[in-house]
Amino acid sequence: VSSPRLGGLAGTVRWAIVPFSPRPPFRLYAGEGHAPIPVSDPATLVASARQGGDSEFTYLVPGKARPVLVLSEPPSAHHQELTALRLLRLSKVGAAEQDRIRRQEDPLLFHLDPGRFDLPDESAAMVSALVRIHVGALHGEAFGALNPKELRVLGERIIGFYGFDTSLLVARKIQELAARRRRRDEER
Amino acid sequence: VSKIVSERRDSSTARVPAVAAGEAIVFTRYDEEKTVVMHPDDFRRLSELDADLTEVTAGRAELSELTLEAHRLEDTPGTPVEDPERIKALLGL
Repeated sequence: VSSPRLGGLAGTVRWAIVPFSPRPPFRLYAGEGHAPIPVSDPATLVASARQGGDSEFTYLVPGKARPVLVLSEPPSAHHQELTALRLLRLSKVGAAEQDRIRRQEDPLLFHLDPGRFDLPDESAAMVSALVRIHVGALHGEAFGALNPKELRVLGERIIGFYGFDTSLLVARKIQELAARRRRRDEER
Repeated sequence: VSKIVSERRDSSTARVPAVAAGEAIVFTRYDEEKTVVMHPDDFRRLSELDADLTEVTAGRAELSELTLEAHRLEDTPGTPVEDPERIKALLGL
């Protein structure tokens, strides 16, 4: 999760074209006038790749235009992909569940206050639904944006859900803080 | 190394110097740090800190029934529109 910056993408909710993850049976585009070629499992495709063919196929994967919560800025001019979370429309779940989400009682569903996010439907960001999106697949102005504190909370939940081991990172940060404090004490 | 695994040995099996609390002796070989001897209290404190750090940075949030339902609703592909005329009509092409 990037720190939000003025005019940046991180923390904003925007329209995006979001594909679903490829899953069997895979369908390979076979050109105009031909039906897609179905492949029932990954083994056939992996076996072909192992033979060193390095063939690239066009997989027909369903996708949807939908609002997403963008988590990061594109890393560079040459790498224009960013991470985002899919949203859950609250109208799709029952009234009791909606209230739970509004009270932020489910750590994996981050409620987006309709007073701040002018979305077509009241929504919550799904912490467990991380997707990669190309910047070129985003469209339009932001529906709203999280503040730095909210984005930090969300980042913590994402790390927690995916089980990323941050102990070395935390230990290094503690050591850096301790060193900084020692330096300050020595300067006084 | 994510966790310090310690092994107990009787001190009569090696010549290990005693170290006061808050101090450590760093043994070197060819200018490289090889072994550190420290007071048992300091070692226990470090081990506890290490264990605490592992505990506070670990732990995975479980998927609730509601989150699983959210995935079923928003993460499962429906029936894609694949009829050319219908696609053109929907997109105004």
